[in-house]
Amino acid sequence: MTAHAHTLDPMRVALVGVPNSGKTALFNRLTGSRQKVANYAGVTVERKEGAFVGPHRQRLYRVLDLPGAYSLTPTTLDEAITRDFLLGRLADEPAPEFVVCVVDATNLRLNLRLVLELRDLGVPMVVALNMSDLAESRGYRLDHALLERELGVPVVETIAVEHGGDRHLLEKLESLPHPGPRLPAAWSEPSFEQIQRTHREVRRILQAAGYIEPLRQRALSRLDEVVLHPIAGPAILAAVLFFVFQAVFSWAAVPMALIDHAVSWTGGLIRQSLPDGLLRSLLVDGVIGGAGSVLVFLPQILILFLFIIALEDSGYLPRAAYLLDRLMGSVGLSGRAFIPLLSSFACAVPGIMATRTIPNLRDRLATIMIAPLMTCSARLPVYALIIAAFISNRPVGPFNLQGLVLFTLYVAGILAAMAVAYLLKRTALRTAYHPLLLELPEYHWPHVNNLLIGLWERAKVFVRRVGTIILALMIVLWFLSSFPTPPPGATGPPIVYSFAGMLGRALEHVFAPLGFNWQISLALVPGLAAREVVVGALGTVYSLSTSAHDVASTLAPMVAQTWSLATALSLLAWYVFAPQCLSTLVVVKRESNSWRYPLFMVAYLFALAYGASFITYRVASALLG
Amino acid sequence: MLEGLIVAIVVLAASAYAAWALMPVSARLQLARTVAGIAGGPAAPPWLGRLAARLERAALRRGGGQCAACDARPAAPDRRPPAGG
Repeated sequence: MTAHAHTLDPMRVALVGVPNSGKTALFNRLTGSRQKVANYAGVTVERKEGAFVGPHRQRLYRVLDLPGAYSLTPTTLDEAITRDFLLGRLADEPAPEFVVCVVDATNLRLNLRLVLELRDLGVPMVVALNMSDLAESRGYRLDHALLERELGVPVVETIAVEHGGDRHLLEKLESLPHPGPRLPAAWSEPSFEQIQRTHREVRRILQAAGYIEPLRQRALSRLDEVVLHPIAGPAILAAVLFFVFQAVFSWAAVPMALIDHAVSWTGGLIRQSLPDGLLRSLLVDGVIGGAGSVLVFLPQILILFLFIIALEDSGYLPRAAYLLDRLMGSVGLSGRAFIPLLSSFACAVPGIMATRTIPNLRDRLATIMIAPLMTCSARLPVYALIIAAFISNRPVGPFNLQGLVLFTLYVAGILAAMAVAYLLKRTALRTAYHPLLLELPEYHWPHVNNLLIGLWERAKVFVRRVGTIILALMIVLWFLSSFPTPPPGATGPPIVYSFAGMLGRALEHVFAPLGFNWQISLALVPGLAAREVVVGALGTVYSLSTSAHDVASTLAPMVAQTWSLATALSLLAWYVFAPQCLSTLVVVKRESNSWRYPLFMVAYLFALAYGASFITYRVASALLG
Repeated sequence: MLEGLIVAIVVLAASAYAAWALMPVSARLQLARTVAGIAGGPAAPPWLGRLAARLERAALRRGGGQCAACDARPAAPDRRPPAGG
């Protein structure tokens, strides 16, 4: 604050606007560094207050930057604070004497509902048409004088990010008389019909003010009419996902074969270079047979992420969220659960952490509980191995059968999650439905740089994971599979007499009803550390169980020879529900601050996985003979 | 003999790494502080102190309760100017 002598009474001004309207930028432009940041009493919503002195009349303005709000009907705590502040309902916070409603000039349809609601409150107000330069350069047309006449409140242009971009607003503020203190306003929540009426009024005002969107914007609006259509929208979404899973198999074939050859060549080179012994077995059976057989799946993971990044960059994913909100609402999930669940397709850990955006604890816990049912990328190598081994690579109409099976597995995970959510939300975690309110971004062509950087990061993560924790676990498993050595006169493969063999045999009693042999039962154990380790573990175990030289490249044919189709389907069913990896359980404990929830998660996922595998195995055995 | 020694070292190192990586952060910090306590003793060699400091730094890094594959970018619904503004 400056030491100027202020000749007029200070005026309390509130800056209001929808999120991303440039409200905070305008606040910074007006108040500079003269800001105080605290919280509103009793809540963790940030309260930003600043001050400035008007350049002409030397009036002092105390400015509050209110949390972004789409309307006065709150769906978040931020919006509730804004409404209560404007109505003078907050303790120790008198109602503002004047309101500057900041609207995004490139998105008037979304912004004007709040303007009309504020106008109806009778608050003295000026509308700041922010980003007006951007609107003009993009081809938006609007008659400001007509808009001012239709709204019945002053309208000024602002460019918050530009020096002097607040000039018109300052001139307008200085020209107005001090409105004097306001009493708390009366307000009641509008009905659905009233909201509809407000939207119609927005459309009428925009038409009367000569508002014309640029051709591109109109074309994109038409596109949205199709993409978000209640019938066409889900059909397009299903087609997009379908195409992604087809591509995961068909596009990855050549690069996978190349990595496969490189892994086999390395194994062969080591075999030729080293004499038969412990070190050679460690390198060939443990390192190459284990970690090498996981590395082969890098192309499939990259293709999956290529599509995820491209869909995100293009602006399609929030539209998918909008489409799926109805489905999520039907099982009682909050619309805000979509982004955490979507993140869980990469890994459940960031998905579970992303549930922090869900304000209601029960909604949040329900989302955490079902996040592991979304098929994380670590499950892809397991699915890919079994599908490649048992499902023929033949076309089914315009589709590829392997891609079709993979798509079905992903859908099975989603349906299972919805079913669990339905049960939880009708029993232990019952709450009212909170709709998703989402501002849809513009469509963009994906940026090549973004794609390349995203894929590079993903490749680094995967290779680092193979080279660190997976490699370490494979070496430990090799040791457990090689020692103790067979007794004199033993006839079976050495692994049968090892620690791992003994553990596998013990576990086989538990998993035999699912059709799992001792090798699969054993591989499930390190799979608790990370899902894809199962593939490496099978590689190591089979490498030590047989005399085949290139297990890394022959793992799929080997499991095809030794497992029945019913066993393979049973293992796929197991991995749709499989009890989570340790990292996920630790994060659930941390996020819920209780062991109750991770333990419940383990128990229910184990029961689901066991039940689904048992039924799959029995039904498949009966049908396939 | 040498071959057996090399294999033993590799297996021990892999076991230690796997145990460390899968341990929760709190347990890793506890372990690092225990080593630091031993390193603070009068007869402790200087390298033990350096090891303890390294362990403490490493304990706070990704791993344990987190997941190396978990920096996947969650879908961002909006990439316009910062929220609230």
